[in-house]
Amino acid sequence: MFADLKYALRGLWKSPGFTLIAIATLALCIGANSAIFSVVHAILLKPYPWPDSEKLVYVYNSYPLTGLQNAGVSIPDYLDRRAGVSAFADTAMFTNRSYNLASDSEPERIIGLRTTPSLFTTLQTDAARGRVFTDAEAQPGADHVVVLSHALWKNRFGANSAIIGQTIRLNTESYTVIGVMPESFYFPTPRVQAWVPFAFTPAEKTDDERGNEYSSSIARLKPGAALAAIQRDLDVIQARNAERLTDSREFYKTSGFGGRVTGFLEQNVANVRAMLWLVQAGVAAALLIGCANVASLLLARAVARERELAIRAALGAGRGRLMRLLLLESLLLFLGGGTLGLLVAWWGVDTLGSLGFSTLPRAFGVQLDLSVFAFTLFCALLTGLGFGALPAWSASRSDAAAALKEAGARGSAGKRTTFLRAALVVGEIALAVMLLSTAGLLVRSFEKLQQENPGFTASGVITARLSLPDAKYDQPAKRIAFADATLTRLRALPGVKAVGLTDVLPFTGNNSQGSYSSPDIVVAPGAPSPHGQQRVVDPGYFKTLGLTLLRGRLFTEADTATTQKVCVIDRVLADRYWPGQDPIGKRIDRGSDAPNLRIVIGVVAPIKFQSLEEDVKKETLYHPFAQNAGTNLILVVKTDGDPTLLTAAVREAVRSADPEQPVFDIRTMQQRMDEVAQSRRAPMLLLSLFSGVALLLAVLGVYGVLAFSVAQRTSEFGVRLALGATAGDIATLVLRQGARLVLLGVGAGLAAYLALSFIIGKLLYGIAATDPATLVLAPVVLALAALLASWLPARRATRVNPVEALRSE
Amino acid sequence: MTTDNSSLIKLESVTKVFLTDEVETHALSGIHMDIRKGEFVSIAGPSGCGKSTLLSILGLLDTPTDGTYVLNGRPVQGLTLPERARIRNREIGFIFQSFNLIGDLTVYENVELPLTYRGMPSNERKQRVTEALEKVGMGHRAKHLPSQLSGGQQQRVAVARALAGSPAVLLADEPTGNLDSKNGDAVMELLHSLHKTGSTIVMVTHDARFARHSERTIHVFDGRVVEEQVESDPTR
Repeated sequence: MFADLKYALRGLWKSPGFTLIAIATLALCIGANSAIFSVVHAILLKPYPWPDSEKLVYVYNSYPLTGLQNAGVSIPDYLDRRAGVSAFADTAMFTNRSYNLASDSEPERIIGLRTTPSLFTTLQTDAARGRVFTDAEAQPGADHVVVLSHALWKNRFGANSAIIGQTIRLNTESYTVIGVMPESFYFPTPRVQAWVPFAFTPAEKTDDERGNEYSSSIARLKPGAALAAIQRDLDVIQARNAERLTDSREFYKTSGFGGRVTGFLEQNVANVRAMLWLVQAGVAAALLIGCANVASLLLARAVARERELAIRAALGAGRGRLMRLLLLESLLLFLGGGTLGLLVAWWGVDTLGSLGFSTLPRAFGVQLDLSVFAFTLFCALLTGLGFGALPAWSASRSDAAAALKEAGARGSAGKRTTFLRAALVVGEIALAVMLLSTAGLLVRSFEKLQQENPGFTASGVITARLSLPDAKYDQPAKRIAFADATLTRLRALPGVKAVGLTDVLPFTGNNSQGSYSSPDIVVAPGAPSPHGQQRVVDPGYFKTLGLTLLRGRLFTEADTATTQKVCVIDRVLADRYWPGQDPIGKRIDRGSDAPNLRIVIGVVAPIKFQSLEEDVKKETLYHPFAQNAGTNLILVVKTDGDPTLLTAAVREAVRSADPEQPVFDIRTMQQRMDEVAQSRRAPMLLLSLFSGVALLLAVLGVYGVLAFSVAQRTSEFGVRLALGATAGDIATLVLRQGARLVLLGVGAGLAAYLALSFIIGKLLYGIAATDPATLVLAPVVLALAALLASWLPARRATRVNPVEALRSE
Repeated sequence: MTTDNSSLIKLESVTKVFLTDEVETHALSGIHMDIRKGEFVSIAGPSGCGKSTLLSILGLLDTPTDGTYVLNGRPVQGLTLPERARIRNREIGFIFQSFNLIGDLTVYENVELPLTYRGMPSNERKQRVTEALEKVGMGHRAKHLPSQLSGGQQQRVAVARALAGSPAVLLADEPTGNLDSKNGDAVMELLHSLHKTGSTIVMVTHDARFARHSERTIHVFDGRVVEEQVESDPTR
């Protein structure tokens, strides 16, 4: 083995051109696969850093008949399920909350989590320093304790070992630090830096609280727990509640309300799973093409070494021994490619981040870890053995006796080698056609998506988030006063055309939905109860985002807390419940409005909130901030210049209104839209890049086969020329050979693509997976490129000197 | 010359037919041959008469279409490929017209190669290679590459490679064909001296001058043995 290894190494060293081209091709292809795998592994495969994290599930409220599958949970829902689902080993409830962490300098805004103490037992993780909170601390009045993340403790408090027991100021209130979590711990993402107790008041535990679904819930399943059994328990709980809560029974029935569980990891990555696997498959196809090219080179090299191999055979090397030698060479090449591929992957991971992969869920864990190293080694070995075996097998079967004769010494390819190389190229072309078609469709799909009108204007708009502390802004009047002061300052800035605020901004991933009713709405028997998206906005919001008023009027400064309650609805609601009627003046009850119901004063065109591909079917109701002032605010400012230039001015305007109030998440509206589009843009860019690489490799493959064939057929061309063939005849001969390969490859590629198009179709928007234009264009581009590559060897064939060719024969 | 009467190579009714497309070519037809241990036999004949095919069959590089081949008392025509490779390695030494040294390997490594296939320990390999190279007078060139040697020197290395494994028979295919007369004579001298120390040699040649070095010349024509000529006093 050692001797063969030595020979193999020397053989590669003696052919630096071949070795470098092969290793570079493999490094690029394996490296790309490793880089993508690092993303796939971190996002889709890697378990969370809590013991047995695969046993964790989300527990949702669900309203399937209204189209809402996963809603948050209310406190009584959580308590019901904690007590009533026998398959839950533990459950927890939590809700995001941002905190202003007081400091001597500018206040820092951190993301925290209000959670039941059971979160830590559900996750089976304890504090690294101090302790996590107890049930006793999850009681109103006893809940001002906080557990810090390792990062916050280190970065903000200098890893102060005496932090336990100290007091810090969160939202102007004092909290005692009781613990610091381990460095590896996070929940649910590393952005959360502090955990405080979720203390339920007695009122919050009552049935009146049902419907306040602003929290999330998770559970740890008992060993062997079946999802079907859990669903049965959830249904039993719901049936019991429906029996007991007669007022809600009809709503439960018409909305299909119930509980629902989904895997924690599965749910978090549901939106990107298919696309990531598609990208991995795409780069795997590029790897196969690269490997086929290297295998083709190995086959050509084996032909050139036919005599050497024949000598070895004559000296007693059996077929197995020859195969071993050749396989060792292949493995060295592929392992070399794999090793360099890790460098490519290292660079690639950064590049993927800049392409937008860093915005995907769980992307924070993307790194080149042991799993990626193992994957790279696996790739290198598998492809090395797979693609090295073919040339090794072929070469080891060559006729040693013939090769040892003088005529055989020049190295001429047998039918087997010629067939294998042609088959490899056909395979390459087929894969390239599949990749090109897929990438083409993704590009066209993305174009279609970008042409979609979201219903608002993003250009020139900058947005910023605020979270007003409850203690300081405990009255709506204080919130309104703060908002007025801030908006007034913003409005006065030079270049600002409009300012506004809302509680839920489009393209942030946030949403607020709720039930409503109306004496003016007649719900058909069996139809779901009214349930819509609820937004709180100020009068300037509509103008700032450019929403279209269809009927009636928008909010004005005259709509205040003391005037008639009003709301603006979108066309979806108007068309659903008052088709052919004038909705202006109709009444809306948000649940506790009676007897002063809200009056519909205007109708706007619907807008897309979640993404451009959203098909707006859910109605939206807009409520004036002056009548519904909350603490979560998003400022929107429109300018006629570059909106990013307003960043400092926005901060300053808020600081002028309240020096202790931090501003965070300042981004332009376009940036938010781009970020949402990243889950489509990033894979599209990457697949386009690799379809280009695949095209290049496939074309090089065609060139390689034809160039080799021309070199092999030099004597034949000499004879043909001597017999009267023209240069055109010879060129046609070669081009026809190339065209045959291309046609076979394109045909096979299209057939394979069509067989798999149902998968790709699920990832497209506004275009069919069998779009004829794309499925014609992609193969045509490839065929033209391949024929161009065929032209070079064809031209060389026409330049054969018949006298020299025949002499060498 | 130490010839004993036991048969080393025995061919009976060996035929070889090549099928190319639909054309049948009879390269060998009903060859009978008996070569004793220690003999120096030449196979002579014009180009295309089948002598190289015959040598390929003798060297287990090719199989007869029909007939039997007994090498060292063992029928070999039905052996598996690994068995044939093993016999080639242990019992046959090849010397080719075009030397067939591996260009990437040094002289030493070329000679060592068949011994590595045998799985021989490195100490023993070293001893054998050194002895073989000394025997052909190439010990001082052990670290050279074939490209750094003259044709005659390359052929001597090829002889050393054939000798190193102490094979039962040396098969030489036109060993002087690519050499000038001076180097050709030197190689024949070398084969002659090997034969004198007991080696069995089968040499294909079309040159009657070299055939006279052997004890017996088998003439092949159109794939048949047409004459056997015994040299009463093999000359140099």
